[in-house]
Amino acid sequence: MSLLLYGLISGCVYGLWAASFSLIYRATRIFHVVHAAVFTTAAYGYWVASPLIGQVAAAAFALVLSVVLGVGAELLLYRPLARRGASAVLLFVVSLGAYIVVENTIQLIWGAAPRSVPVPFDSVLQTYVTVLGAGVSALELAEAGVALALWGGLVAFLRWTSLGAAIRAVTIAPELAELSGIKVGQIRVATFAGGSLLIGIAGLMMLMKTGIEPSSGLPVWVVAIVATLIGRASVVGSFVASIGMGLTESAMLIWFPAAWQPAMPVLILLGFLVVDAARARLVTWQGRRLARRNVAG
Amino acid sequence: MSSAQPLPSLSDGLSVRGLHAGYGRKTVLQDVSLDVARGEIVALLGVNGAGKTTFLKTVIGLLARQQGTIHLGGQDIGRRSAAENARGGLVLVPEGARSFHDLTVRENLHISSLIVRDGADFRRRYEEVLDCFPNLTRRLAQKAGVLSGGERQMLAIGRALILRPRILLLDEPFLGLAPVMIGEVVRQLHNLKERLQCGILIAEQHVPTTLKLCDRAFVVRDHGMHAVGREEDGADAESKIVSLLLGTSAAAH
Amino acid sequence: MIVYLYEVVALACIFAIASMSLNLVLGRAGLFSLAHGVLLGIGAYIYGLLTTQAGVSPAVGVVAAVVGTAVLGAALAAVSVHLDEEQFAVTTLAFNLLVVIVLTNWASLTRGAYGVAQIPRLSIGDADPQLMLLLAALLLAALTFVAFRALAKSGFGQLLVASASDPDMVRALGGPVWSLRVRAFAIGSAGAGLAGALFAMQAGYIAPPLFELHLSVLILAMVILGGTRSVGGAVLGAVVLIGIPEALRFAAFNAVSAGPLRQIVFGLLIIVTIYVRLHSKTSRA
Repeated sequence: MSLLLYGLISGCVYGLWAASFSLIYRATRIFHVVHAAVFTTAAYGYWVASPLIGQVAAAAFALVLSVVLGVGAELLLYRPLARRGASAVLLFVVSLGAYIVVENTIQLIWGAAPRSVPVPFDSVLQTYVTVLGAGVSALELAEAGVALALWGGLVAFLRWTSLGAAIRAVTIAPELAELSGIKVGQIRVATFAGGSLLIGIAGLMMLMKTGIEPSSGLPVWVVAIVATLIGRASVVGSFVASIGMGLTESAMLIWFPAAWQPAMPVLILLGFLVVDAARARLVTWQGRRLARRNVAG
Repeated sequence: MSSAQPLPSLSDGLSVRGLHAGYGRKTVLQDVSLDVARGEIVALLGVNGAGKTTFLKTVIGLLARQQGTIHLGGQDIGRRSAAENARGGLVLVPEGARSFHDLTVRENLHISSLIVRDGADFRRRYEEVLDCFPNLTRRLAQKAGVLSGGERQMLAIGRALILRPRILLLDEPFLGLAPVMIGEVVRQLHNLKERLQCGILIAEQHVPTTLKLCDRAFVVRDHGMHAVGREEDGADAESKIVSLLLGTSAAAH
Repeated sequence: MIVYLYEVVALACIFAIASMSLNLVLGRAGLFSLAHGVLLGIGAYIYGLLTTQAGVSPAVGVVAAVVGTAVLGAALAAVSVHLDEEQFAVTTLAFNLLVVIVLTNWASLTRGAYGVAQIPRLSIGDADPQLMLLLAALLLAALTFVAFRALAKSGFGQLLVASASDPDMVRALGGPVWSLRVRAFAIGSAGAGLAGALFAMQAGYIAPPLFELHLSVLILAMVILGGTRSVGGAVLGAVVLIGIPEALRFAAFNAVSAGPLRQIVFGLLIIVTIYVRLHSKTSRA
């Protein structure tokens, strides 16, 4: 029972990661690895700034930093390279390179040790509550709730606002959107800003819950991209996939030690691909059999 | 070609001069010039790969021009993006009757409301489009992906009309349509020209239909553009165009 | 000083073997693999574990590294070569992460985070072991060059290029696209395994962090820098990308922590490499 609850809670958090990534991925089709760096940068920004300027201002600073980094990657890396005819995989590799630079810059300045901050509103958030017969910290519940609310907000935004409609139009057919008068470049920047804002919030959440280190971002990105691929890149689908991944991970804890946890999304992805490949083979095989029968008949 | 009409004024139309267009350093079109005035229909004829689409994409701003000038209503628009042009009254309906297939018909038409900020104005244009294409009214709540080819072409043109184009560029609007649908689209284009006084440039391979519809025609061949004179009406024009298209000796005169 | 030079040249040869083998996978078969660094790591571990734990001779260890890596590479390719370009890249990236996790956590087999130390080198008589290794690396790099050049020009190589540019056309002509790609990936993995065994000899000590994603990205950058269509270019890319950081005298590569500064240089080199490649391409076109 408690494993189910833990699975749901981490599923919601994964859902936020996936939603933030798929918002960008859908509109741009870029495997934006710098997203992982945005995650850690937000957390380090908060960790550095909060003793100096207080929690609220530090959170604002961290989120501004996230948006600047995400939008900067689009304007300084992807856009000029795409204009020179870089293919999607080349942008992917460039993004990886930029991620490596940011991660190691953080490590160079602040070291590889994990960093954490005191929990805000600790009188409330550090209490334990019993849900479905299992004890969880209020902080974890609150983070799952925030993740769920942000995801719901994103879905509503895409569905009912005109900017959301423009993002959907760019997702479906960028050239046609441009011909309909939508400034595709600006819409792309908007998705980078929005996605970076969301992953920045997720970074702060992880900092408060478990602490963060320079290499924390990449596993987050892997979860996000696996959920996005399995969820067929839709914001709703990737969230559902995230919940499934949270539950699977919980179930895996029964059999595997916790050190193996990072392997979970990777195993799920490989399993998904094997099943997908098998299905494709089955379809061809059935097709061939059908064809043979038709020829015979 | 339809018979003599007063020549419409060029001042608020599209004017292309000495345009070189292509991809990278490869030139597809060399030194081509063309005018489209409001209230006239001009045809751009050419076989596959002649450069019709390249021309339209360059004019609208999807491709960077290599040389030459493009003016709309006297203003230099050579550096504008396609989105800016769409807002400024020069609208391209690309080939293949493309739509945002995952959005409903209503949402497809509303996409343009992002640009037309004035709500009442948008409402009026929206009603106008539905008046023009009553077929779409019944389909408003359906995804654009399920429409028939003809309906999708109407939706594509309708989406362009909400932008209130001064000049409308159409890339192969008849491609893949059933003959009865072609007739319907032709009727609507005439209607647009009369009612909205918009200039229309049609790139097509379908010579007879397009010739009947247009006021003037150009043939794209061998990197260049060849005007077909207004005086050569009817069968003469058609045979001249066919010989131009195919590059037979008749092209010489 | 001369020993240091031997080391750098040997390292350049080792990475030239790795980048030539990735050149077959990427430049011919069009498979954008982000697993090449970890395949090299698998070769290094097979060699290191067999020679230190199982008492296998270095020569047999090298053969086992080549064969073992090829088999694992073939298995990875079998489930992933049907994917589109980007999904394939992500899958190989995931494989990279997975293997590093396994190397770190399956301590009873791999000695986990402690790594494998005192890895023996090929030796003949009393010759200087570093010189021997350098000569072996040079010889094997030359052989690899000849072999991959021949492979690229063979009918197999041409079919690979054809199925990269238009797989449906090749299928329509009866070409076995899937098995072509799996074979190419297996051969490329064999090259990575060879490079890995030599790398283990050169380093003397291996641990999981050496084979994280940055190594795959580095080898990829070598291939891209040299131009994906030329085997010689892959060698050049390896020489340049090994040479630049060495010339800048950053931490020696056989240190366990590759050092953040060195990583930053690699990251920047990758970005600059792609930028320069695209720039020269657009200005030539």
